[in-house]
Amino acid sequence: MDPLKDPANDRHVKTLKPPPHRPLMKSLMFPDKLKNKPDWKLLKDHLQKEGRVSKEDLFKLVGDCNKLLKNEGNVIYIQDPLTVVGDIHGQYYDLLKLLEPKVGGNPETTKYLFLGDFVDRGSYSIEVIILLYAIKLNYPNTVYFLRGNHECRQLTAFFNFKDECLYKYDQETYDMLMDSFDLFPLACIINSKFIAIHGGISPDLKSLEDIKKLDRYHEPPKSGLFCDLLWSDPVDQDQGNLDGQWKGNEVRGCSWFFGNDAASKFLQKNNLISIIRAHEAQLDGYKMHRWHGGKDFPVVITIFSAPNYCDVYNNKGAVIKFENNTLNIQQFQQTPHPYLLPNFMDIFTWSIPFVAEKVNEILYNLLQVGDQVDDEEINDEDIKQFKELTQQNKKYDKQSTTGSNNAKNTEKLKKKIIFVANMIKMQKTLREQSESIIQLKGACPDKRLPRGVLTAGKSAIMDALADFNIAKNADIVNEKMPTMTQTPQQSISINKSINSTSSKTKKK
Amino acid sequence: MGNGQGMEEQMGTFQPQEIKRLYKRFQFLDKDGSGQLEPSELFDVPELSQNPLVKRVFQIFDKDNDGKISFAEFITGLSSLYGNDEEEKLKFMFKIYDIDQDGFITNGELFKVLQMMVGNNLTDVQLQQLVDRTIIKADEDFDSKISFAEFKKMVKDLDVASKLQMQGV
Repeated sequence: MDPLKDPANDRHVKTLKPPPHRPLMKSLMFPDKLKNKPDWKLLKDHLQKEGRVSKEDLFKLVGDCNKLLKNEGNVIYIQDPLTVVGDIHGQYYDLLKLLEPKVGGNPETTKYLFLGDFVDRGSYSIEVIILLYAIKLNYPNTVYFLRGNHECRQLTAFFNFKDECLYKYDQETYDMLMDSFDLFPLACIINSKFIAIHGGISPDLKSLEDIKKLDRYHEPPKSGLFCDLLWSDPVDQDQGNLDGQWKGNEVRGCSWFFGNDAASKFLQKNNLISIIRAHEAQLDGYKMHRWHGGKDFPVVITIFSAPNYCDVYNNKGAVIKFENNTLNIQQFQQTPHPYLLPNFMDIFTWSIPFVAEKVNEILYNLLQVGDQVDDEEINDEDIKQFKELTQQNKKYDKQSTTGSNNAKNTEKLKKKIIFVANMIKMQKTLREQSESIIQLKGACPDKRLPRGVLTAGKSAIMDALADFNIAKNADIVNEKMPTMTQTPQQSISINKSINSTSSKTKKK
Repeated sequence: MGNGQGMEEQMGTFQPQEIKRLYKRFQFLDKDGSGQLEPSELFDVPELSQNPLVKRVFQIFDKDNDGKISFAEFITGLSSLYGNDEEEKLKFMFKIYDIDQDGFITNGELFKVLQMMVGNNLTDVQLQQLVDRTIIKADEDFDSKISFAEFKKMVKDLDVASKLQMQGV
């Protein structure tokens, strides 16, 4: 598809290829030769260039894929060789890296299991969905999706997937995609030995039958087995020690922490070796929870496939590659992505408030020059001059020429100048506020990670672990299940200049 | 006060006493007494030294493009920003971006104007990506540039007119 043209031949950065101007043509997306299947390779490149897909074609793509998803069970069964992928969170350009032969493997010849959290936080969730659905339609028996806690209406409305849908499409499209997520299976058994889910196990999970009995075709509930599969976490303790088997998960505001007791009991009872899950960001892209000590197979393995999560965590991504019953971890680094303003703001929305303020400042200063008027007052000299002027030009003054009218005009002038001064002040404040809001919200593409000012020592932070932990601690409030009245919160303030819209430090 | 007849015509939205006051201003700004404002006479206003749009505003006021602003151009420029004519204010805003004033904002013009305001806070590549994406979004007739009509559509929710609200002299 043709890139945006440059008719005036004045485009500045000629080495950068512009995005395709129009959405992908239907005849190219669904070519005759593929008989109703989408051309996923063409789509991959088109989307990589920030090309768009028409609403009609998106509906067809999702509708076709829904037919496959609906027929899959709550629990699916896969044998290795297999690549298992953790959270992607709208990071399309990292998904492209992950699908490479050297990382996850070519989808043409590689089985894939995705553990959910395809959307939210990153800004290319739509592209992630389009590509993965297209791949699944081409390889229906070797590519599988599980549902993550973000594949639901509550989280996508609170975070940014809904915003992205409304920006790129509309409400109808968003609703259609929510209905599609309702069809995703919940768990997978790999090689009859491993259970794979997005979050973790549940006190209500005694056997796989419990999962199979669920009606999964709806929004996940706020508690119970269905919720826990998507939300629970292994306890963060080296031996998996936990008083009692389950502890309320206050990080998530719902569901549980589970420890070695609960996990081992469940695994033993169901003849399984390990729990493979995602759901938690990891500095190295993965974590082995070796609760039985160093020699034994880890009880839980966490895999996380969104490198440099939210553009600030500075973590690696990883995937699990199962082969001949052995498990290998393949890490990968972040891939740069095109620059976006918060909430997909366009250049006019972004710049016009600034332009207005600067124009007003010019006019104000042009008209104030010579009178030394400060913001709130007009001096007496000014009033005298104006009085003289109006008296000289009485014959032009259509109003009556009584003394009280002169005073009125003076008052009018005073008010007008004060009004202008206040207008400028207000606009300046609004703009500064909105800039700092952009700065605050700009760290995370979805504008949720709070940013503030770090006291001296920012330049000393080179250690990736420090970055990661700072980001994680600042972001921890966003790991919680949102409530009805909740608004995005700030916890610890940090200042990271990565991808900042402004390199100015905040005024003290 | 030369230019007597021309001044009457330029009254536009201004009352006579306002015109007189503006003329006083004009005279004060016209440091070399040439009867026209040269660029330096605007750029040298100390409060405007950090304002990145002085040159753009100067060029917009300078209707005949002779590099100087006459009093008539001064009054005309200001009158488009005063009062309540929403269309006039949108046109002024559009002209900020439409550098050669041919009625279209091109890719390069949008880039240049943004760069004046953004400085070093974005790389060229980042800014180019924003420009390309904005043009694709705004460009309804696929001519790869933004007409005044397309501009109005893009900014209709921004209430530009009230942002450029100036009540008079």
